[in-house]
Amino acid sequence: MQERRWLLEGVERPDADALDVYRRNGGYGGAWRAFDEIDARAVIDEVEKAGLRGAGGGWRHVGTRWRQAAGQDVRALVVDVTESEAGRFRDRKLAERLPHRLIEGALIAAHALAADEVYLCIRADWRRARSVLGHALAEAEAAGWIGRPLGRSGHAVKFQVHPVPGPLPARGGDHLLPNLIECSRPEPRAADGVDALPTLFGASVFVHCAATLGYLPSILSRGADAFRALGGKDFPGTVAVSVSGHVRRPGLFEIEIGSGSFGDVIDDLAGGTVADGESLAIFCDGAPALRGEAIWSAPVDPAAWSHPGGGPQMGSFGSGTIVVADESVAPIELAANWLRDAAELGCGQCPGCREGSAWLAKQLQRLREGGVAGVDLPAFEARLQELATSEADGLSICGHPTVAALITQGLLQIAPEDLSQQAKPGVEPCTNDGPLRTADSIHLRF
Amino acid sequence: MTQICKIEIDGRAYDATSGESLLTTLHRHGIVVPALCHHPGLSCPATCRSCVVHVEDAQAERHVVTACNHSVSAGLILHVLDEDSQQLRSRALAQLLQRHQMDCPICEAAGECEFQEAVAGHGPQKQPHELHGATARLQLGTRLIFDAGRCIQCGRCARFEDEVSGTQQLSMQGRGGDIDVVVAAAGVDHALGGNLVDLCPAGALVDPESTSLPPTWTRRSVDTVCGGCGTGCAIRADIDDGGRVVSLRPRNDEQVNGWWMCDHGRYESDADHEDRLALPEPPSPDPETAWQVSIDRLKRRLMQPRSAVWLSPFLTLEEAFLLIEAAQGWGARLFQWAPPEAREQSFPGGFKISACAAPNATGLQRLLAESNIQAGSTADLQGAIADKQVGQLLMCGGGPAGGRPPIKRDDIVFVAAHDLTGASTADLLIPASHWLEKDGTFLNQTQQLRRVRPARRTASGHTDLELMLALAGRADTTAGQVFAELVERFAWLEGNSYAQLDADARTQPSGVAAGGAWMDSLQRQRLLVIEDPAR
Repeated sequence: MQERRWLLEGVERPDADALDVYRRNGGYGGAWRAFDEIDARAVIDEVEKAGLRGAGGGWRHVGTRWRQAAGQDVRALVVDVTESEAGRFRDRKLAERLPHRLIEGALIAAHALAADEVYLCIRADWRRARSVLGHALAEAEAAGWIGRPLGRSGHAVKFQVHPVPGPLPARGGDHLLPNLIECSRPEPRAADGVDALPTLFGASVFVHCAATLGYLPSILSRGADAFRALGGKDFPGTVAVSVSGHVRRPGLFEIEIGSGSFGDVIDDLAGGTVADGESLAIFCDGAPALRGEAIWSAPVDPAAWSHPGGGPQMGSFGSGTIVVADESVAPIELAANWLRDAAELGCGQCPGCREGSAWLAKQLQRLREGGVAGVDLPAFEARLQELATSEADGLSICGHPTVAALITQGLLQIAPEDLSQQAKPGVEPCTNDGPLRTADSIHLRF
Repeated sequence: MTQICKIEIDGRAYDATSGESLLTTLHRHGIVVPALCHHPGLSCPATCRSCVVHVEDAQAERHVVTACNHSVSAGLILHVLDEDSQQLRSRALAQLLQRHQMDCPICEAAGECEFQEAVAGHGPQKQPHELHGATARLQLGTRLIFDAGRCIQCGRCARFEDEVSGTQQLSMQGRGGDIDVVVAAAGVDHALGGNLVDLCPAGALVDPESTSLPPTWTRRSVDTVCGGCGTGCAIRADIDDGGRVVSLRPRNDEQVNGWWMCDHGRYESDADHEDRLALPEPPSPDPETAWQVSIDRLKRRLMQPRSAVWLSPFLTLEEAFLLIEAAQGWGARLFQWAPPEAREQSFPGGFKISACAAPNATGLQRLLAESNIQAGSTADLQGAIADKQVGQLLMCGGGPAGGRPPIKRDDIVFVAAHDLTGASTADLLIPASHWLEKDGTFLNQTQQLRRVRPARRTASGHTDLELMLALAGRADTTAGQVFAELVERFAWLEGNSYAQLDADARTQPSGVAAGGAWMDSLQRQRLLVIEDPAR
């Protein structure tokens, strides 16, 4: 399996974050084409033709959404550089290594949406990403890309960096960041309808995750057909997979959609697993965990997953983020960690996280510490199942508790003996409370 | 733009207003869906999820939506009372119930608790229950207690403090399982604090004194208007079996008070002031005839020359009209009692406490202006007394204690007052009606005409209206007939009638006595029925 870079193209160059390096390699060519050579409508056509889909995990057609939004008065573009899903570091790496690609993508999107302002929401605790992005913005502004009329369109776009406290509820979605920009609590707002645009200070805004924007510059400079040539028919292009955990070389690997399985990514790109024996792959966007051979038959192709492609592989492909664990880790420990994290990171406004994950985490903790006495296992499983369907059932605003419950459920299903052993009276409780064992050093591929 | 459109609910066609929320539409058609975080006077976060219903799309696929924050569009197909939807709502309530300390038997809010009603009607029959979270009981103010164990984190109080009162003395803090209502060090000390008791759906914010009140289901209520200031909030007075007014709570009136009222009006109505008269003074040997004897004496004195009448802004339009007519008959001079001043307060949510501490100052001015009558001011009256132009003065319709006029007994020959206030200086006293005992209309500061209804009987058994009718030498009649006469006389009142005013009040969704304006509105639509099991 080979890497095929589009989003992360040029990431290996020394000083890839510098404006002159980026410019020398064709950078800002896409933005210039969008602002000078073609009009906003043609930009939307081009993106629609390329079939680009949102990389945040929803996989909605970017061009189609833009076309729908074109009639509305979109005031600003909000860029989500706050990924808080466990195991995912794609947007952060993009901001740290290729900040100008992100800025260029944001310029193109803002132009297509006729928005005059871009809010870059970046996690305040990512110091490096913030400083690199801040520096890149200053460079781009000095070079005249930001804040001044560009090309024949004469459209000027202003940028504003908005550090937000992280981590956020992982699935807060489009309606969370406007709340934070308004200095409100980190809570996603309930939207009136799936396609309703979020509002910021009363005006409609469009929210995109950083990676989605990162695909745009090359689509504009090389044309939609070049992008379309990669990947599948419904899901063209590439996907950047974050791999971490017990692999020899954890990192971010961009491959062509449909060119292999997650097992191939682990073997060929991430250097294989740390220890021999059966590995466990956790899909951080809410799919049942896979063990052993099953990882090699799980394709890196959204079309093959039940969400978004409606394929046979159960669960949500999301952004293709996996965490690998070897046999030294008890799935029930991971499950307990995951639930506790979910309960802490959820915003707590709807009962899903507040009463669901928090209660379940407490029950698992109790199970680990004291065995089955005092834990009503059928009730626990019933509540877990309820939580796993809570977003679809409308019982939570975002998918945050659902993802946590799906992952927990998957982990408990993969090792049902964990739960039953805990459940047997007289069996020593599992006491592995130490941190996860990880690779000695982390080799990010840049 | 709103338009009437057709929608389908559970297979039946209904008319609905496009753009209106699904919840309002359902309630309008009498379909019960619980809504715990939603309050029509606040923003709608849709966090409690207890109002979920199914919407069917063009492909006949069903999607779950929260009724509170989704709006009606033409051709919408809703499934509300099917088993799936009911089960989802039951699950949502089960989750909320998990943290709720179920001490209903000793809870102040029991019997008028939205959460209790919701769970009884839509919740799970059985629920594994485990209490976690805080269980503190904090005194936030003299009439406000926060019982953390009952809180279901709906956030209504925090939104109220943010959007309506602007004080932020209650706010949501923490995340995930640790989210909680946090109280400012000062407690809650603003003038709208009583509304928090009304809007808390789970009995977490309660009035400690409500434990001494008779049970909710033994009370009935009367719709009236608060006479505490010129704002004239729509309120309802809850009355116990003995005819005692036990609490005042706001009704919804979008043009006047929205959904709220201030604590001054709510808690300090002074209707039970200890100095209130039951019989005229000086006392008459026969209590049966005391009232008539006193009126006859009063009329005789006022028919003498140099009489004056000091009109009060506490009189209803009807009473003021009759008194003016009587005064003109006697040839008495008219003076206007400048309304007592209060501290004006405006809140970010648009609610206002008026600077004028009397309910009908605007109405009285309007009545005088429309009748082309020049009435002197308080200063004119003092001047007239000093110049010996006033021999006897009728002072009438005092409000709560404190409305005492600056007149010295020595300056005039004879003062007749018919109220408790300033009473000790008068030669003849006739018991008056409090605004909770009046029947008539008030014109508030923003020129809104509203009906006041008697919530209780006067101690003397006679009302101001009867007194004014007697003074004007008229036969006994009702306030409605006097109002009809006013409507005939004055063009600015054209088109009004008591029936119309009552109908207007009813279209403002606003019963039995329970909860705040929102619960009241649910009860009016028979969506929430609090019944006395004993009856």
